[in-house]
Amino acid sequence: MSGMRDRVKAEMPKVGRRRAVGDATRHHFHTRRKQWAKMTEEGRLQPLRDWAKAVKDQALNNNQQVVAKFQQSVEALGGHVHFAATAADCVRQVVEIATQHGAKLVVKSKSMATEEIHLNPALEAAGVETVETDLGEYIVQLAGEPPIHIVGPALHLTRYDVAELFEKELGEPMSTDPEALTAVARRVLRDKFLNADVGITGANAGIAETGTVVLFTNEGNGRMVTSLPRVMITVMGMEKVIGTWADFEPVLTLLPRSATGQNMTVYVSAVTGPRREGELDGPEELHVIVMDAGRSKLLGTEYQEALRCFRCGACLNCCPVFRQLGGHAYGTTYGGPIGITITPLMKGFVEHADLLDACSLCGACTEACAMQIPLHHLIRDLKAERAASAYTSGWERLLFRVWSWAWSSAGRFRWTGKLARLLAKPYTQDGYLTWHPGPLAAWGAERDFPAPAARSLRERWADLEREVNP
Amino acid sequence: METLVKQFVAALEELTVKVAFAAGPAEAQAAVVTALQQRNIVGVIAWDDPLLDEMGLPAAVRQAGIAWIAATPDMSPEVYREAAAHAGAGVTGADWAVADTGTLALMSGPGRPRSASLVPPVHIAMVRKSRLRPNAAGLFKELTALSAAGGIPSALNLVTGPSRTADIEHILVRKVHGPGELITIVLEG
Repeated sequence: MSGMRDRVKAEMPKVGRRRAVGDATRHHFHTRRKQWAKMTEEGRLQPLRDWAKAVKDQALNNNQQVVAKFQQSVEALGGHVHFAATAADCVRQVVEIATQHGAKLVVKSKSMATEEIHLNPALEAAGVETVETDLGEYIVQLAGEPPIHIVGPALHLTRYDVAELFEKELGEPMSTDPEALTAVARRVLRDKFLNADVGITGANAGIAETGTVVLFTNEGNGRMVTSLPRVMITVMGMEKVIGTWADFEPVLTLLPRSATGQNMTVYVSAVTGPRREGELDGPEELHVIVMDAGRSKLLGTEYQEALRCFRCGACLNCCPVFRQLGGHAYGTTYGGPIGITITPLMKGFVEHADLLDACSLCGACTEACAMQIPLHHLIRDLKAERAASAYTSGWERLLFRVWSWAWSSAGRFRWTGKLARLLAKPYTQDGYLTWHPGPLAAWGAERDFPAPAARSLRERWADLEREVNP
Repeated sequence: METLVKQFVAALEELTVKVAFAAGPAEAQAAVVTALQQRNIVGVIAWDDPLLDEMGLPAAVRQAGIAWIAATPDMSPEVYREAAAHAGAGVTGADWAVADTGTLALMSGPGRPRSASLVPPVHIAMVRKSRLRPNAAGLFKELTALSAAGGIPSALNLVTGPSRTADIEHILVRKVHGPGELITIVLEG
C-alpha cells in the first residue's frame, strides 16, 4: 500500500475535485451550525448531546450483554444473528448466505461497514451481480472509485462525469441535467429492486430490546432493499447496538441535524425481524452479521470513546485537512478526523500510523462532534504513542531530543535565537526569508516566512523595563 | 391542538408536502378523488385498513372510475407486488404524526404492506388529528409503550417528506426511489 504522502501527492493536482470537496464540506459545516444554533436557542443541544453520549457509553461499557440481548431478540422473531471476528469472516458469511440462496442479483443500500470489508468484489467474484442503490454510491460504483466522503460518496463528480458514466453503462445518450439523471437512476435501479434475490444493508443503529435494525435514507433505497428482496442481510458494526427504543430518541434527533442539516432524514426505517404472518412484503429471511473487525480492540481503552461515532461526517466537514484533500487521499474507508483515529487502532498501527500526519490538532472536530468524542485529544495521544514506538525514525527522535535539550535551559534558548538570526541574515530581504532549507523548500515556495527580528523580545523587554523603572 | 396542527402543516409545506383537511368521510373522499384525478391516476394500491374503509374511500374512488386495489392479507405477494409496481398512487393511513418535523409514522402489518407508501410515484396518507404528537419525545412515549407491550411491528417507517437526493453536484432533486409527491390528509377526530 502506498503511504499518505504518495496519496496526497496524487490528489493535490485534482484541483476541480478538491474544490468540490471544499464547497460541499463548507456547505454542510454551515447547515449543521445553523441546526445547532437553533437547538442551542431552544436549550436542548447540550442536553441531547449528553443524553446521546450517556446512551452510547452505557451500551459500549456493556457491549457483550447488549449484543447478546440483540441476538436473543432477533432470534425470537425467527431472524438469524452471526458474529464476524474479522472483515474476512464477515465477507465469507455474506457470500455464503447469498450463494446458498442461489442469488444472482444483490441490491445494496448505503453502508460504510460493507465498504470497510470490500464486500462487492467478493460477491462479484462469486458470480453475484451486486448493485449499489444510493445514487451517490451507484455513481462511484460505476466510476470504480471508493466513496470520497462518508455522507456524500460522489460529491467530487460533476453532472458531466455522471452523464458520461451513465452513457457508458446504459449505452444510450444522456442529458446532463441532475433531475433527468436521477430519473434514469430511478428507472434502472427500480428494475434491480424488483428482481433482486437478496438485499444487503448496513445499520445506523441496532436496538437490543426488540432486535431492531434502523436505517436512515433520503432516497428510499434503504426501504426498497428491506421491503422487496426475499432475503435481507445486515452488516452491522458491533458498536452500533444500543439498549432500548428510549435510547434511540437522542440519536434520531441529532444524526440528521449533524449530518445533512435536515430536521429529519426523509426515511427512517426500523426493521424488526422477518416478514410476519399475513404480511405481503418484507424479507422472508433475515440475517444480521455483527462485525468486530478490530472494534473490540478499542473497548475498555481510552479510545473506546471513538466507538460512539454515528458517522454523521461533521468532523470531516470542519477539518481543514479533509477540506483540502478529500477522502481519497486517506486511502482508507473512513477519512478525516474519525478515520485517522480509528483506522490505526482497528486495522493496524504500523501500517496506518502515517494517517496521523493529516491533523494539525486544531480541535475543530472535537467541537463539531455531536457524540462529544474528544477527537483531537485522541489523535494527540496516538501521535504520542507513535513517537514512543519504534515507528518513528532514529533521525527524527534524535532531532527532537536535541531540540528538547536546547530549549530546556534559558541560556541555550537565547543562544539558539542568536544563532538563528546570524544564519538568517544573508537570506533576509525586506524582513522575509528568501531561502527555505531542506524540507521547508516546498512550504516556502508559495508562502512568505518572516525573518527573525533583529532584536528578540527578551532584549527589547530589558530596555522597556529600564524605561518604565529608571 | 390547533397550534399543533398549524405547526405540523407548516413543517409539511416546507417539505413540499401537500396538505388537505377533512372534517368527515365526504371531504376525505373528495380530497382523495380530486388528488387522483388531477394527476390522471387510473389505479391505486391501498392499505386494507379500517380507517380508509370508515372514510368510504374504496367505494368513492371506484365510483370515480379509478381502480382501488386493497392489499388484503389473502392476496398473493406476487399479485400485490405487481399491483404496487403499476399503481399511480399508494394510499395508506399513518399511526402517528410528529408536528415539529412534519413526520408520519407508518407501522407495517397484515393489510398494511410497507412498500405501498414507497413504490408508487405518489403517496397519499390519512392521519387523524388525535394522532398528532408535538415532537420526537411525544412519539417516543408511544414507541416505548409499544415496545414494552411487545407491539413493535416488523417495519416502522418514519416518513418526512418526499424521496430526495443531493448526490449530483449538491442539487436537490425529488423522486429518487420513493414517491416524488406526498399528500397528507388531516382528519378530524
